Amino acid sequence: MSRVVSLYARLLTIVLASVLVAQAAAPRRLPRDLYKSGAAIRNAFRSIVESPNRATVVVLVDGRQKALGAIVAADGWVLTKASQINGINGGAISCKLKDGTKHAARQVGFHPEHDLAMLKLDATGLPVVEWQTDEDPSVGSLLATCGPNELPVAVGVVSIHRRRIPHLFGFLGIGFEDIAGGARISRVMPNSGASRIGLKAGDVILRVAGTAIPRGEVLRNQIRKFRPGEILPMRVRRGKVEFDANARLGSPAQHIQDRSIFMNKLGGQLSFRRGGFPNAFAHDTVLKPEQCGGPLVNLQGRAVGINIAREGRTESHAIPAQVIIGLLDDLKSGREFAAPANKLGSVDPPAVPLPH
Amino acid sequence: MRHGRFSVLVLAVLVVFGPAVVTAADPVSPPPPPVPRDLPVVKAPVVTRPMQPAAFTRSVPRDVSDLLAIQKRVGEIVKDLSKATVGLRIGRGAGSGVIVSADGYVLSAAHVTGAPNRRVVVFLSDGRTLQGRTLGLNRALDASVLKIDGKGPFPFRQLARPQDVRNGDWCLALGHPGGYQRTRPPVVRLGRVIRTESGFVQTDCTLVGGDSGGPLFDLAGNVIGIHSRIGAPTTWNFHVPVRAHTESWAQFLDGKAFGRPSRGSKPVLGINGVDHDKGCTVTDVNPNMPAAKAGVKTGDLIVGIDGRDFQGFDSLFDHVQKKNPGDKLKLSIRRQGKPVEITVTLAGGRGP
Repeated sequence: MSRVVSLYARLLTIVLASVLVAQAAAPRRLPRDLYKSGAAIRNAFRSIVESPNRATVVVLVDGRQKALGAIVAADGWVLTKASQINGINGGAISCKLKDGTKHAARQVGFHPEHDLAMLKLDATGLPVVEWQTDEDPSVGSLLATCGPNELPVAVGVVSIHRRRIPHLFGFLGIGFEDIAGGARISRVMPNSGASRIGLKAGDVILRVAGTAIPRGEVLRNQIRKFRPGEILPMRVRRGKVEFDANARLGSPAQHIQDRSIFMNKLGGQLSFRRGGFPNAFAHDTVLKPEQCGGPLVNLQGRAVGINIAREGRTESHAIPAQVIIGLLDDLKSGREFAAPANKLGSVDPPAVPLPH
Repeated sequence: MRHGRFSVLVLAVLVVFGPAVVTAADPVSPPPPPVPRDLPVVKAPVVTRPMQPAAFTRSVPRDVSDLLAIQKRVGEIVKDLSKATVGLRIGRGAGSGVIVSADGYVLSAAHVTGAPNRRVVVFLSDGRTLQGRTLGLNRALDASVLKIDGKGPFPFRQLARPQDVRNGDWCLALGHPGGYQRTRPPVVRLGRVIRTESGFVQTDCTLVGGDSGGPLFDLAGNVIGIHSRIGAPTTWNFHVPVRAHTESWAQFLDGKAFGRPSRGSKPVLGINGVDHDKGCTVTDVNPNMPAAKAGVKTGDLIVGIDGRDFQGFDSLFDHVQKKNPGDKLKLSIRRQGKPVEITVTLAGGRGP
């Protein structure tokens, strides 16, 4: 175990400049408002975002900002990032517009794979996002992330053309060993999905999502089909008792004290769901998780995509406008989309009493 | 022990390191005939920056037409910058580099190449996987050079003159964050030069592990720095100025390892933090450093230094800069809403 960890730790990485320095001379630093996303630079985008900012909303759950959203139809349809508002049990969703008005919202559509949610407000005559659908912005194109203010939230450039963004594995939080007919838990990590439902060392996992677990490798591959935030249904044996257990998987970043994950978290929080997108391009705009979900526009003020995740220190992801357009009608209809790994993507775990 | 956690790590390692492509020498073939050695390039390929359009040099873009001009220039050069940017695998480590001559000299960082005369696998953005060998390195400045086997010609970019690099310059960082991935071209980031010192250039082009050794370009498409290290704020990205390479070019080509990381001369607090309206929030505390010893904890909100208000991590940095190792620093902290006063005795260490 320590071998693997040390191999990874030896990935040659940037030396962390965590120290504070001194030289006698006063620092000769660029004023902060002239930084790439400083106020003076964002001000140069004022006319570009004037119209699309009116079509951008703050999505609130119980009065707190959880995401931004894009008004996609004048009669009150708002697209946003689903995982930012899902999983908050019973929270009241509302949207705040640039004109200051606040509207109650209900979720109508949900696309688990793209992590998009369609909200419906009781409103008409709203300003609507204008899409740029002919082609994706090329690498190096300038982009502004809209917000319901006068200036963009932040600006950046396209970093990587569109591609499939790899899936991040869900994290159960156990160590295990092979035994006949299953995988026996050797260790349960504190604050993990496994510990929260009371799994214990010595428990044997017999099946995962209906698949028998003859050995540990199969268990690992099964867990990998699920993402952070999803429910892993298991059949477990403790002593002579067998029972069903459903654990909500965590994100590796919450548990692994790994250097590369540590560095990616430097400088800000990351989105909980930030991988497994079938089609997204990357840009270098520094966003907070609650600033995802809204429109991303080019220098013509047309939306080239929806910000879908803050993935790491260097990258945010956006779903291209073309892909979004193709999903709008289905999302409005409330049609159910298959979750990519399983059908349990957004369901809360049923309360299952565990034997003691 | 088998563990979900470790399988994730194993995968990440595989992704980064991939299968090696090795061209082993055939043991039975006769030795090749002696060939006249090329004269080493003793002059670094440095060029003067051509006159830049006003749109690139204004401290604030005047209007949308300036932004369009910047975007147009980036679009014109980004493919060529990408071609010269390489991924590196050296032993078990991964990093980035940039080709600076047609015959395959590559600039990188000392902490990427590690030592002279090591085998290197070089990944070009056109999909080619080539072999190379590390040359000299300057550990004090974190600069190194390596050579791709063969004569090329390889796609390359020239170096900018150090005196042409100024605060406010627009710049592009390319590299392979997280390590080279076969299906992902070099990742492009735009930013501005925030600070220029003899030992480093600071920009707001965000970097992360794996970018190390990769290039920072100006809008003329010339290399101005090599990615080296980061701090907690996303605007703390440090690059080695290419002067570090050009001033000792002959030593690098001779395969010399020189320079020692400086230590002890600069006052060090030993924390990382991010900006807060009322000061800064501590994100990391380095163990065995003064702040940790004095009891500063992750999550602390520092609201005052030596009895004065301040705003942002940079201000704390600047204040520490004015002191010396051994000096005392009084931190006013709010920990879970409660005020805590901590006095830290600064130690000596390295700067960024």
